Amino acid sequence: MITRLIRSLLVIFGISVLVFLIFFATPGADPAARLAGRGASEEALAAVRHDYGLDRSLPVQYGLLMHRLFIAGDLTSQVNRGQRVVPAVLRAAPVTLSLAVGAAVIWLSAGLAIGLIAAAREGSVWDRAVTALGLIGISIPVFWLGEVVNLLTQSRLHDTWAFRWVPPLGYQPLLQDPATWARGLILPWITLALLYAGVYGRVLRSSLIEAYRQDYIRTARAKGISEARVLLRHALRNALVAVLALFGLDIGALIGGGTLLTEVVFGLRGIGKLTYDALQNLDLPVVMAAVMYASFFVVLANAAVDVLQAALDPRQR
Amino acid sequence: MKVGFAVLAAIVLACLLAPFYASQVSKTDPFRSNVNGTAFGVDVLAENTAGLGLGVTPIGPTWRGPYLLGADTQGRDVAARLLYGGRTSLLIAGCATALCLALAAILGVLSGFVGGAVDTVLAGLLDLLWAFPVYLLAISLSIVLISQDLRIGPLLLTADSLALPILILGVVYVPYVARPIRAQVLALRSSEFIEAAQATGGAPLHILRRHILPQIWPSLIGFAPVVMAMALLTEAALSVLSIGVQAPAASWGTLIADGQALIYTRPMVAIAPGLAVLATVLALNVVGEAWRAALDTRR
Repeated sequence: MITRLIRSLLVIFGISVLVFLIFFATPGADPAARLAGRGASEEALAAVRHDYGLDRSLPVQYGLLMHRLFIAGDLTSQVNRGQRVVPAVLRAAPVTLSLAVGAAVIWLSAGLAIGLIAAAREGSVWDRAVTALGLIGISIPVFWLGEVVNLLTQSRLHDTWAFRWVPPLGYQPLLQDPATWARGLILPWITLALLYAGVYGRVLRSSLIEAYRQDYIRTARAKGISEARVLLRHALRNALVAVLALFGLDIGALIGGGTLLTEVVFGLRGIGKLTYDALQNLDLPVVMAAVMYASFFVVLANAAVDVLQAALDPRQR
Repeated sequence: MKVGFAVLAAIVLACLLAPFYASQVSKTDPFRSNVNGTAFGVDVLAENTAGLGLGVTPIGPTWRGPYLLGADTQGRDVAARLLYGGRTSLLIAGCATALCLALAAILGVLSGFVGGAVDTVLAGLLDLLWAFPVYLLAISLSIVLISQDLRIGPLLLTADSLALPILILGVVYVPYVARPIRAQVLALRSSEFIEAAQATGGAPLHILRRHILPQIWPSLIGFAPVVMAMALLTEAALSVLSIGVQAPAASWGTLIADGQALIYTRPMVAIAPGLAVLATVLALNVVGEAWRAALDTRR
């Protein structure tokens, strides 16, 4: 437990150094010119040099940046002068979290369901359909899928009974009214979940089939335990370890890439949309802060998955 | 696997024929705006009549000859741009895959074979990169590299150079390949036939070349389709975020981004390049899957 914690802290430190080096020590151009944006005046460059301590050594610059990002929180945007970046990131976080958590719940339950069906009917049409769904899911550009969903539900099929309930694009806060919150997010959730559900179904299927070949399942059956209990307490518990390992990996892709593009296409003003707007304006301080916070969240989520895995699998304790 | 290869070959061939298509079928320059053009007696860009009457609506798919898939907001032939965009996307993904595999092979073999302090440092670095979400790494690298022209010695990399996305995509997937390669080299190094080769006086370089590299080769090739599939998707994502391929060059990603503004009026502008990405990546994944299955049964 303690070693896990230390490892997570080391990874967080390593990633922060890496991001810092990318933004401040990439050779080829003056970091002040990068941070100030294209065509900045001499005064603006001098201000940036002073603000980020660019005339001092790299470790000092790193310390200064970390202080501004996580303690003082006074990093400001280069484009919208005076806009503080850290509060903006924190304000946007609930949107990204709502999207990611909701989508994960949907694809994990869908993956569980189709994995169980495919394992029970090994070699059937269902089984092959799950394989195909998994392959298609990892091959779809998520941004494009979102556009197609919008095209159908906001325009072409919006006036049919199926999609009349779809609200205009945008995010409604959860605490104001949970029902409108969920109604606005359901299509973004499904869009993201479509990418992953098939893969998870497949992984669960193969590890379930693998688990059923093990001796301990035969032992459990020999003890006279009911078939449902064999599945739930013995086979599924073992198979979920593999699913969780995959989930730990996908969180990174989700927070950094999947939700980012989904937020943009569905007009949800989360960290991803904030990053997107900053990318359009080459607003480097905002991008830097968003990347830093998002990576830390991914490391924390990974640590949480690790703990869950240890709870499921005594061998990993 | 055969179907996958056939689809890939067809797509590559079609993209290679892009200049022929542009000159013989679409008969307009896909990189120059064609605001006042006409096709089949219809204006390529028609003034909007609905609502406030602002802006223009490009011609929709004609399904024959010029403007087969319609035009974009600048009156350019979408079908021709799709083929040219495919060239860029495939070129970037292909080169990035080659770069990624080369780097991963060097790092993985070096780390696994040399061992000791070299291994500790390299493996630690790979673990760190592995924990760093690919997209966030790619976004950080892209925004820094495209914000200013890059001058390294005599080499000048401008922000619109295709070398930048190749470099970025080539680097971000290195841990994905290098870690399993390293593990394989480690396992091989402690196997009996390597010990026997060492006992009979084989020099390290000889053992590496004769006994280790031939074993690594199939798994390395096996990663190629998967890495290329991921590179294609990531290129599209970065281009949609405007930090991938820069205008005037076009890729499938930039075409999807261009089509976003027209998604309700002329959906084909965005749907066609998305389908192209989907078909190519799916074919690559099918080939990769089959290769892995073949490797598994051999072992």
